[in-house]
Amino acid sequence: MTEAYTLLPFQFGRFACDEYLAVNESGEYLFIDRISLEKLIHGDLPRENPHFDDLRSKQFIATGNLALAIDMIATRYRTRKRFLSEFTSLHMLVVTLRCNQDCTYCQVSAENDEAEQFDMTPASAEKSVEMAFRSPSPNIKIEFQGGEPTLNWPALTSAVLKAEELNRTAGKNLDFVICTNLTNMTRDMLEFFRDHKVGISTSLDGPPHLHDECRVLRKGGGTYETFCKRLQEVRAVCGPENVSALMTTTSANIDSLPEVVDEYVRQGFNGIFIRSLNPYGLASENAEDLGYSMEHFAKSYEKILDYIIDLNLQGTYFAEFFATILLSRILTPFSTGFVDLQSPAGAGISGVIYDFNGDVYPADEARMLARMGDQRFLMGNVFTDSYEKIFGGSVLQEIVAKSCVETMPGCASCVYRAYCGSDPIRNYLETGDIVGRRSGSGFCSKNKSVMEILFRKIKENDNRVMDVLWSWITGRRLACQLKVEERCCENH
Amino acid sequence: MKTIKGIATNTSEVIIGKVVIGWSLNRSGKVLVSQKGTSLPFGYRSVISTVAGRAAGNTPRLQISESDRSSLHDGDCISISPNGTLSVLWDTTVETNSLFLTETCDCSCVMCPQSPQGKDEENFLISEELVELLSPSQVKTICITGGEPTLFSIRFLDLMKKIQKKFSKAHVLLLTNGKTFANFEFAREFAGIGFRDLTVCVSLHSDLEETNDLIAGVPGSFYKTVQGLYNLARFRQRVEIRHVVSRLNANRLEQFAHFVYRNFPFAYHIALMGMEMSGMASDNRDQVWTDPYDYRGSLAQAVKFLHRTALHVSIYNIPLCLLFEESRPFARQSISEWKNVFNSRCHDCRVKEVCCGFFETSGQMVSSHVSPILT
Amino acid sequence: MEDVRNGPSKKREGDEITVSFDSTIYEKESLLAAAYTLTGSYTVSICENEGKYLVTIRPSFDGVSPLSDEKIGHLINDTLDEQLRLHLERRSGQLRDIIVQHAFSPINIYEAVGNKDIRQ
Repeated sequence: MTEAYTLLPFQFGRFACDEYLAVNESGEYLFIDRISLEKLIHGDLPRENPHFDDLRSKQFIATGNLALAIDMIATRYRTRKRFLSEFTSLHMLVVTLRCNQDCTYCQVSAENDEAEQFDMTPASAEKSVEMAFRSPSPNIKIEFQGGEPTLNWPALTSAVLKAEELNRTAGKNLDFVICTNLTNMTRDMLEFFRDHKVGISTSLDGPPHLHDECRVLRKGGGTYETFCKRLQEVRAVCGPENVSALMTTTSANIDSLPEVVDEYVRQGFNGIFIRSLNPYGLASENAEDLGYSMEHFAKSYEKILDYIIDLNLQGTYFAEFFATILLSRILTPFSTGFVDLQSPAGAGISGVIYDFNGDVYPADEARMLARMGDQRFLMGNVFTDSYEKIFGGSVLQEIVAKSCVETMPGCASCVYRAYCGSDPIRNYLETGDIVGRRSGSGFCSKNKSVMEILFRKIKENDNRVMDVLWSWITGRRLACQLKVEERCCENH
Repeated sequence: MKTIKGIATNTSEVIIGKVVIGWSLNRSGKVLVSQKGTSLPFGYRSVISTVAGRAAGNTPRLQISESDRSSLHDGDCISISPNGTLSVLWDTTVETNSLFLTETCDCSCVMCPQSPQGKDEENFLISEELVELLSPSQVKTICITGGEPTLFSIRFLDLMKKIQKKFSKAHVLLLTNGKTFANFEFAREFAGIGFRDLTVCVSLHSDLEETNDLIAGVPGSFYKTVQGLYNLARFRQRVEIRHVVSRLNANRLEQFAHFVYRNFPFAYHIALMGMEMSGMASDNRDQVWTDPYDYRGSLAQAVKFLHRTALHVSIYNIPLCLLFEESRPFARQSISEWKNVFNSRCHDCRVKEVCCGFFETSGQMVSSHVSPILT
Repeated sequence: MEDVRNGPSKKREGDEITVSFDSTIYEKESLLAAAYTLTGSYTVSICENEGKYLVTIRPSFDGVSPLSDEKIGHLINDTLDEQLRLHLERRSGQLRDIIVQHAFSPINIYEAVGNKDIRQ
């Protein structure tokens, strides 16, 4: 017997053989066979169909109060987009383009040591921080980038002190992070970081032979030895919980990722971000040597994910951060602030970058474009323009209008749309157009592959694997998960 | 609640009072409990003794057995009705006591352990009196329940304000179907009372609107309960979701768990509960009875899922032998002492001390799989 | 044109492939949507002729091989999927707009969808 129902909006896509994956505006997912899917869409799905109740429960169809169903989905939608209410919380300061290293894949195309003309002055740093505090977000994270930021100590310290001064009245949740290679670190610097609670984000590409293959000093030679020494010092002075590392996948290490992970475990890190190459700057010049296809990346990623899950099952808590972000989007109703994959794009509205002279850009790639002569994405300047002009101006408005995957051809009907986002600057770099052609691009193909890998795991629903994946999402170690706290009962 | 049968004299209406054992000068609101009675009963609301009261004066009297007399404690609050029934409204020896504001409800759940009642005011008056009689030091945990306690909305809010003010340090539980909270103004006013330590326990029966309303007995319940939950969340109230498992919803335990997590992730605690087979549940047993042993698998999965998400989850009213071992750490001592019994089969059970046992009120309607855990 | 059965038929001419779709079964929008995914490496042109849509696919650059039979099969299946998406969009697209609107700027949903309860 056919029961009348109202179809609610959702996306679907072929998943395997005869099976389809469907995802709706709440972010709920469901696996369904083709025949049922066709019947469902044509309004003929019978009550007895095994999917019927789940379709109702998960808000793919409504059989009762339609207004309530809409209200519930809208509530979920709003929750997923919660990051919007934060507006700009990440503020990156490029304090210098100089670097003591010359990593082969570096996208900043750092200048030589003498290029001090591109150093941020303390005045510029302070003015940028003032602009950052104009943001309505209750959370402000100031991230120091370069080149190697420790090479411009005056600007860095001015920025930190200025931010703290402003926060005495602003009362925001203020965080600092420095992205550093660690090889220029001194004891004094570490103490400053400790005293002002500056988090440290560094790069480790694997065991010595892999790390030193790409991450070399400008004057020549590897950096692994120095890195390890400094890491120990950082941990001792600042505390191990304040240091994290990320790695860049290149053709040098793409087939040796287990060794990279082993190195991370050995060095005491509790997680890793398996990052693919960005095709900009130096990286694109060396693309042929460094590069690999996205199919290759996807295969290696799947292998390393299994390797890491296995590590966890054997008792070592270790997370893969990219998977964690995507799994949070798929399995939880919450919003995740991951600027690189947001809809509308995070560039500008969630994170901005301040250049040495106070120019403001929505992303680092936009800053590099400007250096190469294309000022398309210059939002304004902290010395000459108001907050409203910079953050409410036409550059940002255009980016927002053209980066909602919900309305972009190809993306709008993609099954993973609810969990995905866009990178308009990258689209522009690759195609000359902000909207670009995402379908078939490296960015799209990578994200789709990883989503597929994750959904295969979700579909398999192995209890032990799901325990591990959830332990990454909640940050609660497996051992703690399995032991239940005693609670006194609230009885009736 | 615990009741005692006695013989009442001079009692023409319901008396409420606080027990005092032994002669006392401070008699306001008190009921004297003594073995011999007293020749000077003036000022007490009633005198309870084990001997027939002397005819002196008009003071109400109640005669009860010796064993019943020794079960009353100093500070207990009781009611005595003209037919000689003594009810213990507040037992000072237990951690949690309940205030029954009313027996009426705007739902009629098929598995409700109470029977449907007509409109009554009496319970509300008794509750108000109880709040007057109790002293703050007596109230550690107070459970506001009914029927549906929020039904007399204005008077309910006034009473809650009194409770918040007088028992400001107490842990307060409100058991409700949540429908009144669908009214935004009501929710706002309730939140404005400013309880320091309050949990609002809302019953939800299914992830499917039609099934929920079938169980609740009133169409539109699902809609109102969901709106109520949203409003409670808007006002940052601590919310617990209670789910009573019956034959009508046992087949969707896991799906329910997913539904709750994804739609009400702000919930502080989820309680998955076995039935008390009395009242409506007993009348409807053919429709609602299901053996918890049969759904222990999906219960285990539901609990495992909720626990993974870092939500607090508990199992109430299901004995340990009817659960998979992995679920047992989540089971709680959930049955009020006065109606908590064990089966003859439980005699040799090693975990009897930590098991919730059974409802005395369920009578013979228990699982056929009850058996002692010997290892 | 081989046209032995009702399914889409194909014809190869050098690097070019033309697939014909019965226009009473396949809508133009579905074809456009399915063909869009090929436009990275191929040039696609569509025209209508005597109740059929003719989709011509040619490699855009050197080094791109002509569309394989397997990929043609994908195109045909994708068109069917896009057809289904079209149906879905027609039936639920308006609700999506209401959802997004209500999410950010709460509206009176009952006014928007009517006091619709299927059980009544």
